[in-house]
Amino acid sequence: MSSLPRLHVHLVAWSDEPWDVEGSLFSLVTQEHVALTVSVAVPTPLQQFVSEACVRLARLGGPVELQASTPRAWAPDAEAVTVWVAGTVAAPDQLGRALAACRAERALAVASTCRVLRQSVPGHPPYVLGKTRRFTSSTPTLPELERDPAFLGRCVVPAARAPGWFPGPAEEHRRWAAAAWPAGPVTRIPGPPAVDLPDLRPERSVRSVDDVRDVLAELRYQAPRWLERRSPVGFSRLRGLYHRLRGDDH
Amino acid sequence: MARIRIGIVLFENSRAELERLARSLSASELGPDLQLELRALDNSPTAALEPVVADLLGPDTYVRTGGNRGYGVAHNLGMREAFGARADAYLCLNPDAVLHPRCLRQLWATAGLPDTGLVEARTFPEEHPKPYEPRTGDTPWCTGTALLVLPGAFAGTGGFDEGLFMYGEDVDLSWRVRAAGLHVRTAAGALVHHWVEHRPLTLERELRVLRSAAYLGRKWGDDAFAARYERLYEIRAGGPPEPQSPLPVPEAARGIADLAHGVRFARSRW
Repeated sequence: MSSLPRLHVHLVAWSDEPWDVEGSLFSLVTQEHVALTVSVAVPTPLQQFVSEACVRLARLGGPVELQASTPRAWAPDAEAVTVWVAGTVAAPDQLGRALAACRAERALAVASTCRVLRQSVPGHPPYVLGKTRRFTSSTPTLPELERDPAFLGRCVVPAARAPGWFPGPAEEHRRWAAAAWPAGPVTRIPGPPAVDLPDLRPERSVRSVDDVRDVLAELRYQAPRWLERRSPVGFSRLRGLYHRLRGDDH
Repeated sequence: MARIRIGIVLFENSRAELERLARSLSASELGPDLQLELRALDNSPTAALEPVVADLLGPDTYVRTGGNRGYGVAHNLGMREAFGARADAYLCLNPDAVLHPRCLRQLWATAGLPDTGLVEARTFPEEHPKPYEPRTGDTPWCTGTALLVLPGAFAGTGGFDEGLFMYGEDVDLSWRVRAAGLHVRTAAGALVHHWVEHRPLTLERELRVLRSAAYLGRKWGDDAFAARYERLYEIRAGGPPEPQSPLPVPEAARGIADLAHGVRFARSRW
């Protein structure tokens, strides 16, 4: 029996794209410092595929229980739960760090994230067209997050706060979150983006202050990298100056 | 039956790391047409890893290279042995990688496309931002994390440039394979878990990157590029790098190199 803290991940597929499910499962079985129960709900055409994928990926070992169906209840020994939409992928330390943040602050923990815009390629995995950073406030609000239909993939919810049912379509994800949100504090997990969310927004134009903040977050990330490519020496000097002004040991 | 020789270059690795890799190799779905042979090429100063390798990867897989002369030198040793024994392909595999169970099959399927020289697995969960053609997998260069080298690519190039100790040798090999008229491809369905984002950029690592960048600039005929990175090396190290005199590639091949995008060596998708 694993002594690691347990987290229950419910993975939902909104499309028939097998690569999205495979990618999310591969990300889950390679998570570190946490034991996982993973349940998977997919459209009928993917059911056989998911059963095989669970067997295939279980062979990699690790403290992960994979079940290719929706259970009646969250795993009783899970300290926290999360809901991923297929296509979501996380850094290997993300769920362990999120669980630690949940425990330390008795809070719903929200990870910083990138949006990943993909193009479907028949017979091949989706091709990633672009990846952009999102702004995340220190106390993330539900309206800020739910502009991304797959937003629950960046939230880890203490089991005691999690509604007892499993959300399916996007509308249910919003309802599920609305029930979990008011029951206690919400915190942002420190550090760089740890979760890649599939960009499933029907509308991608900049329409709100939150959208502008996302654009600025992306610019803040890309501008130094652009300078580094154009002028590595200039970039190095500016970086040195920045660290000296901050009093960093660099 | 195709034989793939897998070469894993070691340097004082942990048992836990090699266990993860060995589990993923055992979990690989090969099908009836693929056969694997393993070689652990140990660059460590002692043979302390020999019993670990024997236990995890099997007997007769361990080879001591006789000193840490870098990634490329060790793999060249592995490739010479593999292709000398008529292997159908050689996979350069990082010891800190975890193969998806279908990775090897997907790599081999992509290797079957016409005139293929190199095939890289797609790094996961952080994919490399350089582009690839989604159907054919054609890409400007292949990363060395899990890199399948076909016999024609080795015969046409002689393998990695041994003047590069670490970093950039995969870029250079890819360009030379393309100069030899072969394709270098990404197998988008071949996932290899390789997480390095949490590793701090130490000064030693940064200097190696800068040194390799300058070397590639000199070799591929862009002296201004090389000078920029030599200057940066000097600033960061407090002194100039040791002089490097790579054999320049022929003028006609230089157009293949992309030195307009810094040390990414290709346009970035993000």
